Amino acid sequence: MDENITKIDSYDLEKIEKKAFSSIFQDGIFDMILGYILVSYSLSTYLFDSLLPVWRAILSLIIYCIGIIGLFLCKRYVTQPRMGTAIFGYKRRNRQRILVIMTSILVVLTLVIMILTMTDTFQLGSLGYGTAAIFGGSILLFFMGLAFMLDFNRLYLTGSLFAIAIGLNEVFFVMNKTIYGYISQWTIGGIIMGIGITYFIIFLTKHPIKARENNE
Amino acid sequence: MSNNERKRENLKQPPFINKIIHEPARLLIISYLYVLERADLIFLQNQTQLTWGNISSHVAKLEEANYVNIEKKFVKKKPQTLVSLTDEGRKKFEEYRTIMRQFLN
Repeated sequence: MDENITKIDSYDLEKIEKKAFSSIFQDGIFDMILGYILVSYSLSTYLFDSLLPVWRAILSLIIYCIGIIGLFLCKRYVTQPRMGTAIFGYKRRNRQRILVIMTSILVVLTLVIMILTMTDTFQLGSLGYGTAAIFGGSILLFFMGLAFMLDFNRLYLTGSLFAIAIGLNEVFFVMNKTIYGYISQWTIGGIIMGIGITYFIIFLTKHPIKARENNE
Repeated sequence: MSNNERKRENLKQPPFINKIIHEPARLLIISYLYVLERADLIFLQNQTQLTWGNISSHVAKLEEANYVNIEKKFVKKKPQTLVSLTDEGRKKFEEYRTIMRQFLN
């Protein structure tokens, strides 16, 4: 028991609350969603050149939706029962709501951009090098703000990587070397997903399902 | 209990310290419940790293003292035990913190 007590440096209630709140990100699902958004977006734009318009749009949507829905289901049915349920105080509940809204906006925005790109309505790179700075910078600011608000330290790293990948993709698009843009997005998306998968495996190892069966 | 025994007992633990809260495992559980509105036993177990038997017995003891409220329900046919701090438990924990601060100063 003593060693358990020493896991918390002191009886600082703020620290205890922060530790409890940050534990909701320890399953790595959020990182996997971020990484998957990058990978599936770049895969869709890559397919853009090699498939017929109808097929590329349908295939891109299928790839994107299957992954995102799969990860949300994984959170709901695999990690949530192992993690347990906690209802935080008013302040944290508001922040949790912001996280849900922001993640939904990110998912829907990617979907909209994907549809617009696939239907030839809009090209991100059409604004020149400024696009890289505008998109990369605003995405960086978005993730930094979110990480700060949620006390989610890992998001500083994954958010920065995400913003770099978007920026690089736009730079390469303007330079007419799109393949490097895809490669950078796959690589960085893969790294972010890798971080998420590592956390996911650690989480599953630490939290076997038998704990749930005993909850009677 | 003889006078000597009582004196010895008082030296081990001052009488004004709430013994229900003072036990390390219960103190940890009650600290989490103080900062959370409600939590189920799985979440508390993950956070405190106590064994299942330990956490159940300590939560039961806190319930006996009317410091926590236990709500059992079924979510999609699976049992869920939600624990929350009662007003009395909250008050006693605040008193305990004040007393401990004064005592250690």
